[in-house]
Amino acid sequence: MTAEGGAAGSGPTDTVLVVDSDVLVRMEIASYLRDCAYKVLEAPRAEEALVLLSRSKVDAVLADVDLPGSMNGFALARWLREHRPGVSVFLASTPPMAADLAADLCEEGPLLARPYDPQLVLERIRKLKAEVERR
Amino acid sequence: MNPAEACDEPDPGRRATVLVTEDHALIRMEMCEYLRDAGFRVLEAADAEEALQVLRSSLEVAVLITDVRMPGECDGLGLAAIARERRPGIKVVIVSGDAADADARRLSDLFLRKPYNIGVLVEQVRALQGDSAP
Repeated sequence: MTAEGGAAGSGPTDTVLVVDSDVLVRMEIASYLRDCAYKVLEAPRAEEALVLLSRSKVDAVLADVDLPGSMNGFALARWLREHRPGVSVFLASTPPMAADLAADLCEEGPLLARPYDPQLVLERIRKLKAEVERR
Repeated sequence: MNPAEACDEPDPGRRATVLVTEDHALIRMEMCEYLRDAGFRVLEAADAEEALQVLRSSLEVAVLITDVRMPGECDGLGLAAIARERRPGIKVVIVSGDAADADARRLSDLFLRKPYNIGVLVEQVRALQGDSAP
């Protein structure tokens, strides 16, 4: 897989937190985003994501809906909405779930499909970043 | 544009892939960040089972760094033994709080006792990678 360009329109130090319990899927999208000049943090579960969020500045979170443990992707998104309103949230599922499920949780529904289309993920992150900067 | 054109690639000679296996998220994050800043390509595993999935895949791994105590059925020593079997050329770094851990010393190319200096770890990994270079 090759990255189509760098983090154009975004600062190269923008940080994306990828939360996905499938290590190979997580690594692939994380590697792609790093190649596009993002700083990427990885967590296999929402509980670990909260630990990383407590210590690091994070600009965007890409999370699978179906996470193991007591907190799934929707719960993580709700937590982010309440406690980190400035963080962009992207949810993904396998197979893609109905848009209305994510409408109030995902910045830009419908949910992304897993395994991830890296270029689509990159486009979403860039687009949302541009919208935030225009506000 | 490919990744090499998208950003400044570090010295290719230092782009060996390191698989870091550590269940403490903040320790893993710090170690991985340090290794990436040093020019390594880094894969992150949150436990031995995740690391085993990587080792079963076709992903290149030059160096495995693992903690000994981790949750799950396989600990760092079990992971190191399997890594040796599946990836004969791999370099294994084991970190442990138990300095007298004979199994850890036997299974590793480099044994580091906790707490360790992250800068020393990076230099030692670099040296290991140099040892495996053709």
